Amino acid sequence: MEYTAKIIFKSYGHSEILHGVDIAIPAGSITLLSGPSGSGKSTLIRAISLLETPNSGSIIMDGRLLWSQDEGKVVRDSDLYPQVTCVFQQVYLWPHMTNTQNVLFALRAKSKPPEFDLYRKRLGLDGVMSRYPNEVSLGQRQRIGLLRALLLQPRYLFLDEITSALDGKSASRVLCILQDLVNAGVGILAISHDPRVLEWEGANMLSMDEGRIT
Amino acid sequence: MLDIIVKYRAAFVDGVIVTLQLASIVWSLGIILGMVLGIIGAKFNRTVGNAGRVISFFLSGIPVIVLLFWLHYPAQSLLDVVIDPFYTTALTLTIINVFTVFEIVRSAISDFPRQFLDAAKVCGISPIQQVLKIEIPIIIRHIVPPLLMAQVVILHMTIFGSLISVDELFRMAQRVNSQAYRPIEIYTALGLFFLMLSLPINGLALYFRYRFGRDFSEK
Repeated sequence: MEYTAKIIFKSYGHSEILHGVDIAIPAGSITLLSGPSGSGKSTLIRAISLLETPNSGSIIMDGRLLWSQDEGKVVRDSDLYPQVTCVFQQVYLWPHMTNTQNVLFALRAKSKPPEFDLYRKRLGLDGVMSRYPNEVSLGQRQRIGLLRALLLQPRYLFLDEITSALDGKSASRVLCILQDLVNAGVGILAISHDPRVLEWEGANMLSMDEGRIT
Repeated sequence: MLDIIVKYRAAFVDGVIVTLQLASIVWSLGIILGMVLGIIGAKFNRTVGNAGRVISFFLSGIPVIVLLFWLHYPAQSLLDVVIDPFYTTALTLTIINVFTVFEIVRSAISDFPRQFLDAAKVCGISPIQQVLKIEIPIIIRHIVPPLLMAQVVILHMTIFGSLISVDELFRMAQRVNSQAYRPIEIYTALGLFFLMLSLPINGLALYFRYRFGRDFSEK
């Protein structure tokens, strides 16, 4: 069981960002991706999660083709998301909803599921959920974005620098939760420059430079 | 001041009615046509959007009074028609309002951060829910305050109608003043009237800005 992207090319206009990237994210493991700014890491996440269509290559989830250059997208969005979901560096919580509403709307739930308070406490989000996103810090928004993603119970989770604004204690909490997800069989791809994340024991370490996995 | 208003109340009431009629026409047509054009302009940015921006750009460079006089005298002379000054004023202000609203709506839609929709998409939210629950509410909250502020400016512009003989409030106040010659009281009353009309609209705009105008950039 794994999420695989093969020979992914992606260009914007005449500028080619990804040059035939191969990546496999096994279920129940974490793959850490680092590399200099502008090397194509965020573009890779957007391309393999099909938020943007690659120019060529193929994407397979648990043996099922999701997209290929020849066949196009062969899966409906509703079958893909939130089995595959992402948390972006800037999070993009919806600004007209409170933080709780952000989470509940994503779940399409009217009331909080039992795991809501459990994860909220584990992520140290007491006292911020009734506020609006612009009333809390970036670090808190990153944890709220993660809370939103966790409650969606994804099988594959793509994270883009989600500990960049977290203090040591908050980062430890997040890493603890991610370890639990890995133990529960979730496949995680995490872009990070954070040494606290890159020291993860047993993680698959990848590095990216100039649109290639090196 | 009150005695003047009471004595000439018929003239003031007539002026208020004409001003409100003028403003109502310009507000309703401007908002409806401007929004429709703004949505089309955002959808077809290269054609309608750019054409609208060019017109807005030129309109913003022409003083309202010049446009009003041009439509009142030369245009009617060229077309060999005679149009009631009330409608000429309504047309002039509607043109300005349409393109003001167009620019507010078009830019709000065009500048909408698509990442909010990406965040919704990866949560499995359907495209129709993305539009109804995320895109439209955020855009409306972004549009309403400047739209209301623009309508206050348009209301104030109705006094230009007096220059081409529209019997709106400013012209009626001038008439009363020519008879009573009490400019301090009359123009103070005029100012208070516009303040009474403008303050609730401005207040509403500020309320919307405070209540809903959440920063897209997530500070």
